Amino acid sequence: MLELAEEFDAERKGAFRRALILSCVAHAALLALFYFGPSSQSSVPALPGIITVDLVAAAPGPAPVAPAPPAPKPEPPAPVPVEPPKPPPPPPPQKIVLPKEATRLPEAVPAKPKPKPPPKDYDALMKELRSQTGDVRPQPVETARSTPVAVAGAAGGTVRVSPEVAAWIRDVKIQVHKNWIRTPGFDRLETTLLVTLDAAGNVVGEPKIKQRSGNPYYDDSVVRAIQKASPLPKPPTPGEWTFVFPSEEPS
Amino acid sequence: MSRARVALIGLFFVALPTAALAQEENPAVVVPPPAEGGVYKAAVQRFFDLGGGGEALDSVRAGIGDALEFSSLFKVLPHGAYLASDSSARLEGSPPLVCSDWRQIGADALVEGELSQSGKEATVEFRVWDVSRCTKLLRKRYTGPPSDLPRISRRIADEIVGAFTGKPGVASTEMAFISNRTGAPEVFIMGADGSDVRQATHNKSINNFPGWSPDGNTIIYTSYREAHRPALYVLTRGTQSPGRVFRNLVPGAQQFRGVFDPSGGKVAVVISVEGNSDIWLVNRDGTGARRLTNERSLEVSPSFSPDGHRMAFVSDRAGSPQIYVMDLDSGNVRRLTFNGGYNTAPAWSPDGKWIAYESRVGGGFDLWLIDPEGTTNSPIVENPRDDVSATWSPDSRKIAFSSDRRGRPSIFVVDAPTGTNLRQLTREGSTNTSPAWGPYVRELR
Repeated sequence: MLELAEEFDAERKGAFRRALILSCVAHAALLALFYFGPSSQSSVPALPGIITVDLVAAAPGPAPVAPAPPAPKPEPPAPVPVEPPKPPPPPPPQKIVLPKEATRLPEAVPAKPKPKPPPKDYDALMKELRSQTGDVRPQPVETARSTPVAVAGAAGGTVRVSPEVAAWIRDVKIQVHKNWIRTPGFDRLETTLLVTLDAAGNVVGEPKIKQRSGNPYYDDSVVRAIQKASPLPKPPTPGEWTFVFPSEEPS
Repeated sequence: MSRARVALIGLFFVALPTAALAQEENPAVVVPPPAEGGVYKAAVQRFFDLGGGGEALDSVRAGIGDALEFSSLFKVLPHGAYLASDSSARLEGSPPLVCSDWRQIGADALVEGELSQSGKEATVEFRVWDVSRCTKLLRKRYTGPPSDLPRISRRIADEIVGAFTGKPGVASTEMAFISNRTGAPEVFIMGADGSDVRQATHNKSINNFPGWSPDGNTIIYTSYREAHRPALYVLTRGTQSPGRVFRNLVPGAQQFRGVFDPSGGKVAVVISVEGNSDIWLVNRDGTGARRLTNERSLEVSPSFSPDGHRMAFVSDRAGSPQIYVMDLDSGNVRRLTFNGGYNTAPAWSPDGKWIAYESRVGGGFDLWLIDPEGTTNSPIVENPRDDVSATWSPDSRKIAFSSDRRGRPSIFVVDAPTGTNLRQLTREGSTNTSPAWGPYVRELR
């Protein structure tokens, strides 16, 4: 029949059967161990810093790698395929020469959706109203919050910034993260962009690539993410900001 | 504590924060990467009619849309949602694109184009916009007989996938498989999305294990057409002649299966002498035969690593069929699978990251993925019935296999390594097995 060519002969089959019974017993024991034993899934490493911790909570939940069998089976949870700790060196990126025009057409109407007023405006308004009504309150929270917060610096180290800047960075991260479409096959890459923001948070012009990842399609995906996320929340100061896009969560 | 020491410590506590604050640098925004599996949204306009377009205007649009969605990397936006025109303008001299019209409906890609048909020839030209960046990504023209339009549409979609992700889609690639829909199990070829099925052999014998040469011009397969003994044959395109190969490799031996190496210059052949099968490596022209395994056990199912330096295969040398990996330069052999009592049919992914294989679980076979180092091993396709004969798409993003989960064995495809987006490719009331996914097709013929 069809499988004839790779059937094992009858002599071997006896040996297989014995081995099979043995392995079935071992399998059952292993399954039982998986089912009743402690979970072997390693916990997701917590990200450093307040900002990233918040982000994880806001990030989309289930890992997309979980296989979805069409029929539910009363079996122990399947191990999720993860990147091996020591994968073989990636094959050189496939060179596909596509005629690529870098022509950028001027937009007829630079119509951009109006940014929603950030909550800060509300606070400012309340402050103004209070001062108008003579309701000048002490701001104990402000003094407590003005402690500098350590965040990643553009040059790679950490810098201490005001809580306002830290909060802006957190919001911006979420917004860009949500607009970043990442298709499979990009590993161990990092792109750094210089992005000019106006006072309203609009991305002005084309972001400049400060550090290429080595894969132009990955670079394109992050420029796309920034452009799609525009307008960003109102920056603390308009001007040039550095955005880093690692393909793996920074450890 | 001496005064000097106190001063030094004091200096340390004062100087450190001052030094840190003195660094006047804008903080960087480090964006955490989203999970893989993002999907681009595409708007596909009805192409401009340059003459004789007719129904092809709709079928080409639908063909591009279906093939984009086959990639699992694109979702096509419903035409009714467009703020701008549903139809393309002429590509030359068209007014500037209002990208915001497409951004607002959530499109990442806009596909526009024009089409003409006259008797024997159809011409399609398309242009793709990266809407987020408001830049043109790709513009290309295809010409062929009108009957080629479905293939041209799939090709266009694959190029769009490539323009956005760096690896073209595989909707326009081909798959060989075995079907008995015309009686005996014969070799058939179809589009990777299940379209355009053609019968390739007509010998009314038993045919099995088709496998492609890396250039896509040859299919090697096993046939019992001569004296009901298994031997290797090739189907060819172009100048090479089809028919039996390796006739005098090992006189009197049965040839169970041939597998091209990634260079296409060599073939691994499973040869059986007196019921003991081993794997040989032979040049494409039949010369330079070298025996790779020499055991009393059975050695079958060779599958090469993409660099051609290693070969996965199946051996029962330890008592049960398991997957092994041989370093072809040194000849060293390492056992790869240890779980389960029956693991077979390894298929090394073209990107080298995974080896898919069949593992008997309970009464049936499931498909599993293991990395070549054996670090990660997990099921990708599970079903109480048999899921067998995994074959990788040339972009390593999909696996096709044969399964009897819906009755008679049929060819299915899933995304890899997630195992999601199950699609059934063959729907005939016949037995369809042994899929072999072909390479990227360089030229549209």
